[in-house]
Amino acid sequence: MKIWGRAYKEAVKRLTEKPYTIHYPFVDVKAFKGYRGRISLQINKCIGCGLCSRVCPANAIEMVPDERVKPAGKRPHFKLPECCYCALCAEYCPKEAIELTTDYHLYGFKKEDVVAEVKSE
Amino acid sequence: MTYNLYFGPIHPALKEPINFTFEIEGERIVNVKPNIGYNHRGLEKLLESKTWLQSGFVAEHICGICSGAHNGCCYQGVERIFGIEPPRRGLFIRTLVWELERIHSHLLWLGVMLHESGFDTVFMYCWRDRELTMDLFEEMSGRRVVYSMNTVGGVRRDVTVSFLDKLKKYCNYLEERAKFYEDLIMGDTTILARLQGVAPLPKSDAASLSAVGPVARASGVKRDVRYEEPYAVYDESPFRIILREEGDALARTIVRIEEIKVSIDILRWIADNIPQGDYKIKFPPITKAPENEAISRIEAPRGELFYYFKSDGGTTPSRVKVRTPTFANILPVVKMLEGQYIADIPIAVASIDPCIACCERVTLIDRKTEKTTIVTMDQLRSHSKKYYKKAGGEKF
Repeated sequence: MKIWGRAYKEAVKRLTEKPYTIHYPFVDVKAFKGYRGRISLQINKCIGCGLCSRVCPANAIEMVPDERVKPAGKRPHFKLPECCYCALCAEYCPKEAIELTTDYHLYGFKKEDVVAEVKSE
Repeated sequence: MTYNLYFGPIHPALKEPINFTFEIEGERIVNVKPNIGYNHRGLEKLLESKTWLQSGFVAEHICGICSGAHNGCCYQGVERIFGIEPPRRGLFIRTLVWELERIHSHLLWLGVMLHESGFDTVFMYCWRDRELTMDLFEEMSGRRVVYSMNTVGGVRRDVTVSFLDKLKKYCNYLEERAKFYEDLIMGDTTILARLQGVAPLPKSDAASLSAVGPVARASGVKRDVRYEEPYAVYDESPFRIILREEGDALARTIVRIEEIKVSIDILRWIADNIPQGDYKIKFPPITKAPENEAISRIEAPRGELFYYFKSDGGTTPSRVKVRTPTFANILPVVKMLEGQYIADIPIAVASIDPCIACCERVTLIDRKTEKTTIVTMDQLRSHSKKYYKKAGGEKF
């Protein structure tokens, strides 16, 4: 009988608590600081060295031509559907141009809809 | 007269793609033939095309639940190839990840086990507590499941003082919960009737079929890498081996709940004793390794995890071999199920904590003819016996 009481006690305790689940799309849920989410690239810091594309374990980074980047004239293009969000590119970037933001809303009807942020400032 | 009953690879009672052929006589199982190979992803071959630094990030995708164990074990092997010794703080954080992961894996398993035996309320409770572990992981590493916490020569992120305080609070809460689950299971007649004496594995069978992890320990076999060959900081930690003699599904449940308590003790010890200093050493992304070979063993939540690396002096490994605990525990399942009822199949399979996606990796390719052959378990066993006899190893 003691054990029956224990299970009931747990049930009553939980009844008085708030629901543990969150009404997600209507309530904004913030990720923890340091979360590895959508990649953002600061284009004015990038020098186009291509180290990020060489360290990427998922081969998700391709160097594409971009005139804004000097002197190499190319910038990394992140194929996010293939990315494993390990943040090696951000860790090894010599100019700290790559950053992983806390944005985890990575969805889209097409692969092309899921893209990295490219900031010019 | 016996009938064949085909079970899986897609079956509501199994969460993973594995196929069993059961020879049944009435409700009793006479013979079992397991058949794996529905989820082969060729990750060992893929690892051969990745640099030493990248290998761990591919390795952690072998298993979604024990990704930290794969990641850490892989880098432990790479460090042995290079002869690198990680800093002490790095080793402490590594152990922290492994033990937190053991808690989350065991809670997940406990939920699944109780769900299989029809106790869905506690399944929800377990997974709710597991969520706290996932939050800790997210705060520490930046991701809930694939932590990518380790690197060659240490860990990638440091832990803060506030995180360690949070960890201590979490340990206090979880200790209470683990006790609650133990009391609930041991005091519930329905659960006891469902688990006691089901899927028994005698000690002799567990030893001879090389069962690993909690399955072996629930049958009384002292087999734990943390005990046999302490790695990282386990030799100093308050680790103790949990053994049960019964060898049934209930014993496996109790072993896992007790292991949660041991993990909590180790986590507390880490939070109190973590040294200051560096947590990693710099490692270039693309570098040549010396010609060498290395093995790495750790105790993953499910049992012994084994990595073998061979280097030809290049920037990538020339051969990687992975043996996951589930692969070692498939044969004990066969032994467990013989003579049991059909209704006990989900319990028996769930009781080894199967992760089939991990264990899919036995195909042989003839280099000259490029023919692919699948090796049967008997052939492998006779080969291994011969090999060990030749090498003067332990006799079976």
